[in-house]
Amino acid sequence: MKFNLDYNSASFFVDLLALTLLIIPLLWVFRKPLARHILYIFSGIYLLSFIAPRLAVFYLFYWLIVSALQRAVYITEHKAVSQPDNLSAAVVSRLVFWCAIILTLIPMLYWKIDEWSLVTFINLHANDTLALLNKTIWEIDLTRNIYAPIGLSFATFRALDLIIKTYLGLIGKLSVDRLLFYGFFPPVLVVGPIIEYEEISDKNDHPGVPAPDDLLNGGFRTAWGFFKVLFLTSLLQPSTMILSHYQGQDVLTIWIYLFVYTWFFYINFSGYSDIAIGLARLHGYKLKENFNNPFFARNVVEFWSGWHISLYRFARRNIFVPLGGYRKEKHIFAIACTMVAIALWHSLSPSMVVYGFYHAAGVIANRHFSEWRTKKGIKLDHPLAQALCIFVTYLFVGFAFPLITLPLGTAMSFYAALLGIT
Amino acid sequence: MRSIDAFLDILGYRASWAGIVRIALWTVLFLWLAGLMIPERARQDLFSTNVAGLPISPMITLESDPAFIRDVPLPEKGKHFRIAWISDSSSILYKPGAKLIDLTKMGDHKLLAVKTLEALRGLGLANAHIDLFLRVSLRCLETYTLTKLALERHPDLLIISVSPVFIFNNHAVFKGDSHFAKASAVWGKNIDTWPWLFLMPSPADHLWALLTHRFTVFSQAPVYAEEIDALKHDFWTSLFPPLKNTQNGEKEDSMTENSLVFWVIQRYLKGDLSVLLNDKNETVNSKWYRQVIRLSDFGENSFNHLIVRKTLETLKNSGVKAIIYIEQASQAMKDDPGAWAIYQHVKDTFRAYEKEYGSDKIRFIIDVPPDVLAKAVYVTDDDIHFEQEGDMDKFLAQQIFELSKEPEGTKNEH
Repeated sequence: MKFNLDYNSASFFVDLLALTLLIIPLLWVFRKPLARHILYIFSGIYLLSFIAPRLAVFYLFYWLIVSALQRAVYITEHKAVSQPDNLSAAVVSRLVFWCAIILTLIPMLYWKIDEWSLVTFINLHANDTLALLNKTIWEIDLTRNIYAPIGLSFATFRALDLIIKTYLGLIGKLSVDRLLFYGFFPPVLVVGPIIEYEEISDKNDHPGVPAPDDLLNGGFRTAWGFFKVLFLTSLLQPSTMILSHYQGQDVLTIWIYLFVYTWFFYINFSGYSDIAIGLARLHGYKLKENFNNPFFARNVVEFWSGWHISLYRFARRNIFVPLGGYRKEKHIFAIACTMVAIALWHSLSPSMVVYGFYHAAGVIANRHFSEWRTKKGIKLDHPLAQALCIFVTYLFVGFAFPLITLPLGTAMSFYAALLGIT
Repeated sequence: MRSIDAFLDILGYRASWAGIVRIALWTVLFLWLAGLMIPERARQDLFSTNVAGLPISPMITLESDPAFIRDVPLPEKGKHFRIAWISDSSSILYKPGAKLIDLTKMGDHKLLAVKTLEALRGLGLANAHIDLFLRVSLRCLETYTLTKLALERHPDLLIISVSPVFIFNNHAVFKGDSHFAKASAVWGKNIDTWPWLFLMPSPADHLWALLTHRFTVFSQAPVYAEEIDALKHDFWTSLFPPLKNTQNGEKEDSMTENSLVFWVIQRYLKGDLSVLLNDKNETVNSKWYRQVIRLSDFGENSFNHLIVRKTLETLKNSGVKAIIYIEQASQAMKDDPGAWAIYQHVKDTFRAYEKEYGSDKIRFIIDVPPDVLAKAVYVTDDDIHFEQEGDMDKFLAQQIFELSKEPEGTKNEH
């Protein structure tokens, strides 16, 4: 017996939109940061409870553990910095840091390695916990669908980012309410983007209430996101059929469908980001962009600067740079590790390993090509040359899309059909 | 759209609170005007073909339609004896060999309500009209909501059929995705059900209830869903070549969204699904129901008890005549003494309710005489669903007929 673990994120955002209509007026009442944090923590937990209360329980545990880890990292790192001659303090600090990283990663890794096992574990035990807390909520939880830990990949990387920045001394010790506010900030709970703490912290003289500009821009952005997710993607939805029905189709049809599928994928994902960014703006928070016309990029590096930017930014800062990516002798290794990590964040599967190396090869080839061009003094400023670059980049990127969805064997069979190899 | 700020800068537009209010007012006006342009259509129902030409009004919309109740004109009071009948799949008389709960083929089956109506005519109650609140997989909370909705139409008599498998099953108090379990507008009318407004309907459900109440464009949207889908399909086929009907490799296993299956398998069968299967690896309905009835919680503080009590209180306070009958399980259930004992416990619990709430006007049918079901045929390997109802229709008709002769009153007393 298989369970449908899928969740339609649009439902969450409609809930959040409805709740936003209530929260916004309350922001004028809850002006103090602590009160505002509590309002958002309850909102996040409340919204997760409508997916299933057990999910809220799971995330509450998760973020409380992250809070403890963040404190431990801060305290040990602070001690190491204040006592530069104390070698054991530095060792302890490093040890605590790596323990925190591993502990933060464990649920996501467990999920990616053995999804059903984690799903069973979380659903059963979080539901058991509810039985101890409140019988009626436990009974309500039993009626909700069985879900994977929705949004865990995003939450994990947000938590990792926080811990790494704490270790680097960029973020101080966070009170529990601040940390849970970051953990349960509603717009980014289910489909990202992977925001950084600074984006929603109370720095930068955040007024605590939205301005008319925020409401106007947030409203338009949210509406545009819903238009993309509910209307445009539903128009392009039939293109997804090609992934399960490519056999026996003519080559041109497969190419056409793949072309549309890439747009379906992009519009759907970026639509959700638009909604998240728009809803955050309605609350007065300006989140960073997550997409920037990736299908009009002129090379693969530019593509990654415009595709799921928050993930790329995280990987660049926390994988590429620490691995010495800016040093020539480690450049290729760092690129390969970064791209494979980005790929594996989606799922731990052979096809995503191939996807990661494929894009790493693209980035490396692009770098060599740029160097060769510079040496030869070849410029690509002509509009036709630019258009050709965009086309080639799009072709390169789009060609790899089936790897995101299909198992490796099926993907190879798909490519054989795509290339007319029978 | 990331450049909305830049775009508005170019226009020289500066948002102001007055501007936001203006936009909101224009939006409301636009939605109202759009609603005027949409011709209103009747909402669809699963059982219209089963009751064609009969004085029976199917009241419940398709599962996908959040309106959940059709706008059916009230039969004239006095001219008709108006019955409201709330029931689940057990009052569908399944065509032999048919797949249960196949919603696309509901029109193939007969209904107990239709047979009972015919029997009522035989008894001389020729002016009976039935508001049929029939939905498969009806749970405790949905029954309560439907009771409230049925009473809003002031029936002369209300029939509620109670599933012994689900009525006290605290793992399935309601169906998670059921619109009846998110009935903001119904629960909002009573202060004692206000807490439910925060527990079951989500903020979006409240917003939807508000919008559908005020704007035709929203309330009619689900009715036009099929046409919108067809338009989208036409758009697609006009632009792109259709795919040949090929499927790569083996078909994927069907998946369930029924969380009850998960709890039963993981928590009570410890992952061993074989208990529920036959030699062909198919789930046997009777085994499933016998397992599910074991999840009954008879504790007074269970949510189910609370809801059943609320339902009975509502009936009592309404003054409407009512029949509450426990769906009769097949004697084959005795093969599983544990399940049979719980079934008996369900009946005992209702006997206690009968003492508390039973009256001249509220009649509990907990047991039926053995001869009523002597000729009944249950669906193969199923303890709950009928293929042939035996004399159940005549028995129910007799009960309704007797109750119809009781004088009207304002309150039910006992």
